[in-house]
Amino acid sequence: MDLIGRSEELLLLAIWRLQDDAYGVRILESMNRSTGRDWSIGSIYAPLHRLQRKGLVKTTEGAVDPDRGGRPTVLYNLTPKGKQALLDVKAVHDAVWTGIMKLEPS
Amino acid sequence: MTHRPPRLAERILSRCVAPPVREAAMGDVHQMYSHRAKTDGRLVANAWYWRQALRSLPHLLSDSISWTLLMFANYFRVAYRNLLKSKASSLMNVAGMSIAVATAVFVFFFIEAELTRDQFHVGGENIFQVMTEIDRGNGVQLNGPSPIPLAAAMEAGIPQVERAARISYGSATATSNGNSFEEWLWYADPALMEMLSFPMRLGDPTRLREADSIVLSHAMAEKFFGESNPIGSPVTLRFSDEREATFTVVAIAAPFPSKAGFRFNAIVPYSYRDVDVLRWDVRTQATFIQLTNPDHAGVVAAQMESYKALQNAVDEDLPIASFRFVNLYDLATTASNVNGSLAGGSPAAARIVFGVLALFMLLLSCLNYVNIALATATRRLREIAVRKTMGGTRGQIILQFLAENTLVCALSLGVGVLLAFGWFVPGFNAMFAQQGGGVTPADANTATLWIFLGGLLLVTAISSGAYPAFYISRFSPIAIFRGRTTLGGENPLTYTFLTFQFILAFLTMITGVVMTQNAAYQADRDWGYAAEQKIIVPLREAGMYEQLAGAVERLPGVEQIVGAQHNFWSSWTTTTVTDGPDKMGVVRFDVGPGFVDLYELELIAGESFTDGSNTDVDGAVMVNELFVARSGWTPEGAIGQEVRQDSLVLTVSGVVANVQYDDIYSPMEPMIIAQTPDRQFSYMTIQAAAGAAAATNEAVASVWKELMPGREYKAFFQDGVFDRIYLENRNIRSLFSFVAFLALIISCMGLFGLVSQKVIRRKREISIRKVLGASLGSLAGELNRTFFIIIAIASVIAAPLGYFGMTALLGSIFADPMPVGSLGFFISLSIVLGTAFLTIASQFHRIANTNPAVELRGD
Repeated sequence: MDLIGRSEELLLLAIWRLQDDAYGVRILESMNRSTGRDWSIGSIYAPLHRLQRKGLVKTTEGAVDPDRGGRPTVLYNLTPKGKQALLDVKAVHDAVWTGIMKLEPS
Repeated sequence: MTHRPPRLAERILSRCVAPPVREAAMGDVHQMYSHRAKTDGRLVANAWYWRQALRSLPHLLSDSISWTLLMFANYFRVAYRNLLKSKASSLMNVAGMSIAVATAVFVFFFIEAELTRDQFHVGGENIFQVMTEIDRGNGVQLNGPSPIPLAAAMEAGIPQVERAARISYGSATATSNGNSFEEWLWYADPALMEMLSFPMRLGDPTRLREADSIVLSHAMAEKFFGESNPIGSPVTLRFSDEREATFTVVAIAAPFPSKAGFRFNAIVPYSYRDVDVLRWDVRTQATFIQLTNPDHAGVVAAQMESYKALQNAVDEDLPIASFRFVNLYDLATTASNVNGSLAGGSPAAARIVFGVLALFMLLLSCLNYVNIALATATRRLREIAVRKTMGGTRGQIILQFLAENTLVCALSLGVGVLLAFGWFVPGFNAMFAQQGGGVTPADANTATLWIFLGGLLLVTAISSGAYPAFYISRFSPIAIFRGRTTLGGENPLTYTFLTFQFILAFLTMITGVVMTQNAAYQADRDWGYAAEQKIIVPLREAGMYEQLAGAVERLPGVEQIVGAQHNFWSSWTTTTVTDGPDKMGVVRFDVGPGFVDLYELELIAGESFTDGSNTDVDGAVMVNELFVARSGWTPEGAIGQEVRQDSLVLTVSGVVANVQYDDIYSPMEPMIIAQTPDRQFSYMTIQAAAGAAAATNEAVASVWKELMPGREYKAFFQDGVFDRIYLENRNIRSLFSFVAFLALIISCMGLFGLVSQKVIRRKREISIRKVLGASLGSLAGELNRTFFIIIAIASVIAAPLGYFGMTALLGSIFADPMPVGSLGFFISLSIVLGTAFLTIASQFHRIANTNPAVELRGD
């Protein structure tokens, strides 16, 4: 089982959360909201491209938007492989977080 | 209203995003920018955009780089599969290209070594050899030797000269550690050891300053002392004037670097040379000066007038026209133009010829690649069309083709380097290393080598791959699918390339054939004297001739002995004679009575020396035909003519045919033969009875041992001196024949590729013609007419080029070059035509043997 990286996990989750609205701007906003950090466009697209190459996400082109400089909206969806990757990570998380002593800030 | 993001930031960002996510990412930033511009205003939005761009750069760049690498890996993976798919043409390409690369790599080693000779001497840019230019009537000659007082005078009189040192050749019988050999040596000023930096194994060479010190070469130290450390050991030298002195070994050189243009055997202080060091008419082999700054050479040259005057006042015979400074690093490349050069080195012609041949081979193999790529492109038209309709850009197709071609070139580079190291270099060294012409790849400058190999890859990849890639990627998919596009053999450029290839093949073949003819010509040449059964004994001391003559004469098998000061091939005097105002450079041989008859010099006019004639007294000399021709006389008219040599008046008493007294590479000069019966000879010629040469030589050796105990016997056979020339000639011939053979193979591979592609393309047409009753002959003629026209055109163009090229090449190597005749051209033509015909016939054989029904059944 190949585990995906942390930023990849966050991206996949954001895409899944957004469902039919998962394009770059929304993904970026969702990431910023959930992590409380300011993600740059590059820090989103470098892992996105990696996920695309690994076959965990696929893209569909939407309508051309004048607000986007005449470019189409590119929507991201999880592939079955992508869903499986998330489930794998979740299983690992659940496994490693259970049965440990209660963790509190010291 | 929408705003445009800042241009520059947008362009930077766009450049850095990997192409597959470019549209998406740029769209997203643009959208966020527009939103911000509406709510917060344009300035804030611009600042935000810039911040986004800059913060994104590291992420995007690393992504782009890994993506690009991946793409390239992908191109090469596909390229590899394509190469495997068409094994025959890939194999042909790699084979041809690697032969060319091997040639180029070999030639690189050769030329690199020639151009970097002596660079291990540190600070050589400040060191110059002072040479003299002498006007010999028929041209200015550059001479290595210089007046003996010059070094000291320049060091004292010219402030820019930091040091000066002389080298002179000598020989002595060396005795040490129970061994005794005849050794050649250098007399050298101790300052020389501070100017040059030969690598040393033991000791300190600057200790040559000490009296009675000697520096030995690695070879000589090993010969006398084996592996033990000889520093401090005594070596006794007995010079030719019977002086004896004992020296202390102060330094042992390491084995000489292969790039050493000049080497020594042993060095003793110059003071041991028994000569008047203040005489300007006495020469030393070489004078080196070390300047404080190489830019001062001009300033120093301007101060040479007084030395010239000093020299010319005492030596009217060979007045110096000017002094010339040759830099230490340029000695080897100048050597072939220097009379009496200290350094050795091949002439520029050798570098040029080798370079041109390597270039030819590379061109041949690159053109092969282009031709085969174009010819096989038809098969890939569908692939190209599909790629284009699937959205592949032209750039991607070009990259794909370039990747395939780079793969072929890289593979060839590897195989070629292996070939060069494993075959060409050892083969060349086996032929030429003994003459000091070997190639040592290990000593080549590594950085230069890598740059060269990288450059070679780049040049071969671009010159072979660029055109096919751009040409093939041009076609529109619609035309291809409709079957409108035809490619390959019908391309006029292919024919031009093939013509050019065959011109090159003809040229190299002509070189090989003419060189073979020349080897036979040089071997058959008349040397102008009888060399057979003659043992030559060099005599190193005055009086030796008298000592030996009596005993040797009584030996069985000895027919006659004569003495001479000089020897054809090894020794003569270079001088100038004047006839009124005219000057002429000549060589002078001083011989004893009986010499002219024993060597069977052919008398053209006049008569030989009379008994007891003595040139020093009666001035009678014999001259050769060249002397007569240069003086503008007829042989008969020459008899009784007078010329002056310095203060001597010489009268021509006889004219002999020209004698090849020097090797066949040096131009022959007018010759004077003088007779001196004073018996102070340097060479004894022993004429042995037929079949008894070897036995007589042994008998003479034992007499020598008896009379000169402890002196080495170093006799040689006069006809043995030709062996070296024959061997060299045979080697030169083998070398050029080999290159011609390689070039022919490469061009025929190209031809084979083209013909076979043509046959494949026209399989159906040929089958239909056969069914309809076309004869094999008419088919062959129809298919191959173009190829034969190409070969005919190539031969017509190559013949005159080859004629002028070969005449120039032979003229630059040999003093008396073979006239280039038509026979060589016919032979070359037949070889190339024959091979081309066989190549085509092998393909035609396929046509003849296929059943047209099988071919046509498929439809």
